[in-house]
Amino acid sequence: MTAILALGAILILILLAGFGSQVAGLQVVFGVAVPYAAIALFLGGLVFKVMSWARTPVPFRIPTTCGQQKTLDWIPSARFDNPHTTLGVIGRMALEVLFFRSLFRNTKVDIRPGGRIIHTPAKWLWAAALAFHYSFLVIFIRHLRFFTEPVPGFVKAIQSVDSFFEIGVPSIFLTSFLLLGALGFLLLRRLVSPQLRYISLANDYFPLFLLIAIGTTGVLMRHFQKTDIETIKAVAMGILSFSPVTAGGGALFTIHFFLVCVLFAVFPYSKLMHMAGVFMSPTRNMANTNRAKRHINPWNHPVAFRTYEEYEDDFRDKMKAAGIPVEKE
Amino acid sequence: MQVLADLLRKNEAALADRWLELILASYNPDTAGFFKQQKNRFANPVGQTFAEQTRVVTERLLAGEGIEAFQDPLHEIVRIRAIQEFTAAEAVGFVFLLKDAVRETLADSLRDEQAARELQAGLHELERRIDRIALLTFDIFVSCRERVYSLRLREIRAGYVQPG
Amino acid sequence: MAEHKPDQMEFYKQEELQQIDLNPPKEGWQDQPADFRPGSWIYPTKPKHLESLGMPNPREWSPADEDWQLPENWQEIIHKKFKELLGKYRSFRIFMDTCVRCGACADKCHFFIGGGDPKNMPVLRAELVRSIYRNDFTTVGKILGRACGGRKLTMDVIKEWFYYFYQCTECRRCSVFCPYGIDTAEITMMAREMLHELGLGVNWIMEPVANCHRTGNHLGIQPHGLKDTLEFFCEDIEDVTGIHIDPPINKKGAEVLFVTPSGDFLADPGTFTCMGYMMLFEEIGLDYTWSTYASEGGNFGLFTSADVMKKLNAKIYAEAKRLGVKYIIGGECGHMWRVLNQYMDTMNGPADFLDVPKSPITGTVFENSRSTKMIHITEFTADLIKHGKLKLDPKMNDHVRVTFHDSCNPARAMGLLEEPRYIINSVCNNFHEMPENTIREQTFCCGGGAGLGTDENMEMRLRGGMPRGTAVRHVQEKYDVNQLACVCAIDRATLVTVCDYWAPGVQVTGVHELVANAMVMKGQKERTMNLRLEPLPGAEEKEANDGES
Repeated sequence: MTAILALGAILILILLAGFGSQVAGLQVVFGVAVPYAAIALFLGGLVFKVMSWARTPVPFRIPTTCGQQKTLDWIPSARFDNPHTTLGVIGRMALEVLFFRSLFRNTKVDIRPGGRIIHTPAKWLWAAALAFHYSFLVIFIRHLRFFTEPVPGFVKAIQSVDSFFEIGVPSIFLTSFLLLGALGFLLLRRLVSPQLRYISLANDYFPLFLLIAIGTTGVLMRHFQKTDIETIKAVAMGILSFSPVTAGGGALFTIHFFLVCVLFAVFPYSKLMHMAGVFMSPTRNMANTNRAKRHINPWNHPVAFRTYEEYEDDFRDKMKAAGIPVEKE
Repeated sequence: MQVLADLLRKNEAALADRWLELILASYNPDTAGFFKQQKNRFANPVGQTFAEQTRVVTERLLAGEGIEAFQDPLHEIVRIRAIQEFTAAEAVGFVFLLKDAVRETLADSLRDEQAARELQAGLHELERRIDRIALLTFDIFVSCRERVYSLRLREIRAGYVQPG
Repeated sequence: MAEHKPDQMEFYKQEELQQIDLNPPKEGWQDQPADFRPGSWIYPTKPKHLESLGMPNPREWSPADEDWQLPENWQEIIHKKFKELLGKYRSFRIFMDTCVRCGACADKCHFFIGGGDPKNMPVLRAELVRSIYRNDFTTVGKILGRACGGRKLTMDVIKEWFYYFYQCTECRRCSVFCPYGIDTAEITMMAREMLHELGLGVNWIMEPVANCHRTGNHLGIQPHGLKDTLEFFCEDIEDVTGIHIDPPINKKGAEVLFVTPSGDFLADPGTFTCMGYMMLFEEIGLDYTWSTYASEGGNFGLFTSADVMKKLNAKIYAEAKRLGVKYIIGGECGHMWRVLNQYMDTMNGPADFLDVPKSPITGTVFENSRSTKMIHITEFTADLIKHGKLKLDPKMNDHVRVTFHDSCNPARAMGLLEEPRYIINSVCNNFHEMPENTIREQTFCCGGGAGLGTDENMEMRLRGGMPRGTAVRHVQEKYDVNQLACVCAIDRATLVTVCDYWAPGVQVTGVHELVANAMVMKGQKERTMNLRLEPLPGAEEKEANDGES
């Protein structure tokens, strides 16, 4: 049900863009107003959200420790899983952000008949997540060729590595299909696994459908209904140089471009903000130096507690009778 | 008799699987999926215990073993159901599902009237044995509940908790 | 409808036999109110305890009641507190915003594994609060509402919070697997803090809190009672070792203040661990003192609110200052060390009146607690053993086949993994680990942490304890393990029950009980009993033989 809701929303968006590309008057909307609005929503939302996180204090040092602490010299500590230095934290964060360390941890242990313990990794989610995110990054970088003149060397390099196998004309990009494959898997597991279906909200399906639609229209434009790259580049450069060109690029391009704008626009207001959140999560980005260095809580207000004097006043007679030393006789 | 036994033994795995499926249907469907899919004994002790022990019970039933042989495997299952959010009837009722599983497994054979007549006596006997197993299960359930209460009592006596 | 005979398939109506609704829920989880079955909820706080602590809405009520007698403006109160907490904790804000519901945590919670209630999946437990956050605190949520996972704050939601946030032991296991480190313990703490604004708490937490406030410990042991208890332990120690100990109490100028959870004073097997500490300190001649005022290391305030935690914890530094000690050693306890390691210094520090802990026996300086000035007893003891300062005879523990249960908080809020293992391996010859995904940072909770260790929710606890119990049973069957060692007072209370149900025959012990039983003390008589006053294997025969000769 929630999946259908999300799918319906995407279809409406596609129809909207398809319709817009056919109506002359609306080209200004889709070619100028939408992208600028999307950029504004993206930047504004992102800055606002990150600022609101950054403004909120971290009252306590609460890392989740996943390995041995640093104590006695002769006990080796887990440098990254339980970091006690800034470098260790950077390492932990790098492992987390670049390699999805925590998802990788998802191991299973089982016993075979005869009592032998075997370890089987449960790494599908990790693999698909990694495949998706890296493909997306590569595709994002590849697209810089539309926004730069001359196109920087690293963009060209990535592009040529990505089309290494030179299958088809123009040659296919591996990441395009890796991205769609990974997204397909991520969607399928939400639909097939009863647990995941139960926890999934429309907000979980929407980005998946959106990205699948963006990826599909992209592939279609490159391989099937070829779109003139020069026109697209003119549109892209026009937006960047604040002198937008309204000359479209066909329905497919308008849909692709519009959906990308939607992606940017919803980004800061959706779960996609995990991209920024992962860097600021206090259970991961703090060193376990709790007892070595005092952490300051900015709102550490005084709380009245029962003082020893009050305590002794309450129990003095009993303490004296039991021979326990007291302050006041 | 022999015909029935042979027929069932041939379908032993299917019978055990079907019974397990019927038992897992007593959980929230989302959870049932987890109990069924996760094959790791430590990550999913409930599902794995059910899977292992229903197989043992089925095997022993078809092998015609005496009632004592069912104590241990049933205890493993009932010990779990006794502390899950079931009423007594729900916790013990899973044994009767074995009858359903048997009849479903035999569905094709029972459709033939001739064969059905031949199987009838054996089936009746088998179902009486399942009833006997159900009574044993009830005993085990009560012993598990008594255990829970004695554990509660011991904690109260130890002073960890104040009653009421 | 035709009558069916017992030998007809139609006779067995599956639905009637099972009497369970087999239909998948038509609506999502958002609309299924919590079903308050006995055995799954804890008795609410008695009004007198709330009154003594000055906390809101004291009254007699029961979760089974239809009317929970909340103040009229309860929605406003929750909203206000929610907003306040969002402004105070970055963790809370980020955990509300970043979850992608990837499901990595879903099957990591012991309550979900053992019971199967889908709302015990950590992701859904958090969604119980997150749905309200979306609806009330995000722009998109305010516009789209239900369509983007928002939910109105109704009485059913409050009841659901009470039900499920007192079904979380704040063990942090889910956090280990979360790609963003989302910590359900943190969310549970926030939810409970909000619930307390309406006077919704449980007695098993709030009575100890009230006790601790007045008497200095959760159990309400008064100063003379504590002295009696310690002296009683010393009598047992004398019976076992022939060595007489005078426990130092409220002694000014001692070098070390020793603080342990009061559970160690109360019931077996915690008491044996307590005897273990005393024997160790006696043997090495440590100049230490107990305190009757700060006689609690544990802190049920952690399960209540930040302010209550701080209120109870403050006594430890205050007492260290009054007695003029140099530093503090803490006993074996789980959530106590969460507080001491992650909260104490920030809340009640700086402890600039204390010295950096330095073992008077080995000279080791504990740089890791340079600021907090409090060390864990296993850090202290591991250092002693490493330097060969204890005479140990592990053969004394040969009848013990032991495994080690990592307590949640020392494992996942500290990283105390090797110290206890090193000690156990030094004092026992038979040590066997449980399977890898049930120990260290992946350890399974006992099912009774975070204030759930009472008896009226016994079924819930046994469900939650099942993953741990299954692992114990495994080493029991495979290696003949007969003792489970741990470094937590709640474990020592609740795992006894868990083991008795899931792995009968396995006893629970503290690490320092094992130490004391293996320690050869200066001037001791020949040991014929362990600290439980059980005859050692072979001792009876030997005695009989000695009698004959």
